[in-house]
Amino acid sequence: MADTVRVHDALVAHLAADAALLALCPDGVWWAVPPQGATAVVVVVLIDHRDQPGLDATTLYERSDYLVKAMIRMTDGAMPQGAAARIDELLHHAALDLSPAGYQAMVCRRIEHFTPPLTIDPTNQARWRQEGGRYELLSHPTA
Amino acid sequence: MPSVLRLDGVDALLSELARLAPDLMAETRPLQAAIAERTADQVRAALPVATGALRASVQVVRDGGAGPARLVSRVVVGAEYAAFVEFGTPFMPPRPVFVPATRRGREAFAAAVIARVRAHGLVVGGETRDG
Repeated sequence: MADTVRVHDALVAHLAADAALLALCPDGVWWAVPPQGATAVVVVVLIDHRDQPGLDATTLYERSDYLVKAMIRMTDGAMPQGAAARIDELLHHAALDLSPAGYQAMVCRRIEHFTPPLTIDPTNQARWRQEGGRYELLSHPTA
Repeated sequence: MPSVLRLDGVDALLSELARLAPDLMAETRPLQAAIAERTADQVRAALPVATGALRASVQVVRDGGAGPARLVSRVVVGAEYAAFVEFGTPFMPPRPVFVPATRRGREAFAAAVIARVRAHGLVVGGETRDG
């Protein structure tokens, strides 16, 4: 049975397993919201999702639109470009292994670069930079 | 030996498409307007409300485009902080509303246009980018 959440988890695990990315964002890879106190972190957000149903009860394939972004608190001149580039190396047309999730990846590709303006936390005036991309992942359940 | 690709009936097809265009424009213009307004309503309904400014900044902009066969409607969220709401910040969780609503709107419009083209007796195959 298709369980899309396991695909989300596999994507996060794929990023979190990369030592180079963790060296740039040592606070880790998180789903949707970073933990309190983090200063250099990668966040994965599900922006959109749709199923392509088959004629019977099966799902032919699923299309997920993720925002994957590095968020860096600007304390010592650190910028998120390096982490965003590493994210792209890990995801853009990468051969993702989704077999533990019971899925086969069809394609994963960046569909939009994401680089919003400088963000200032109103509670403590902390300055943040974010950079990454929106990635489209097409996959189909194997079971 | 050279390979030869021969296409028959291209002139007839182009002529048929040219005849279809004005009718299709007239039929799909109100459809697109209705779908765009419905999409804007869905975005307004799903956006979080603090002051109401974000919701009030949602509007439909119509643009005839440069060519006679172009029909463009855009759903716009004009508030400067709209992207922060959609995609989140280090201190605010994301609330994706605009991207899925407009994707559904594009799919609905593509399906409506395909239905009308088929009603004119033409065959549409393949898959649209969003569907």
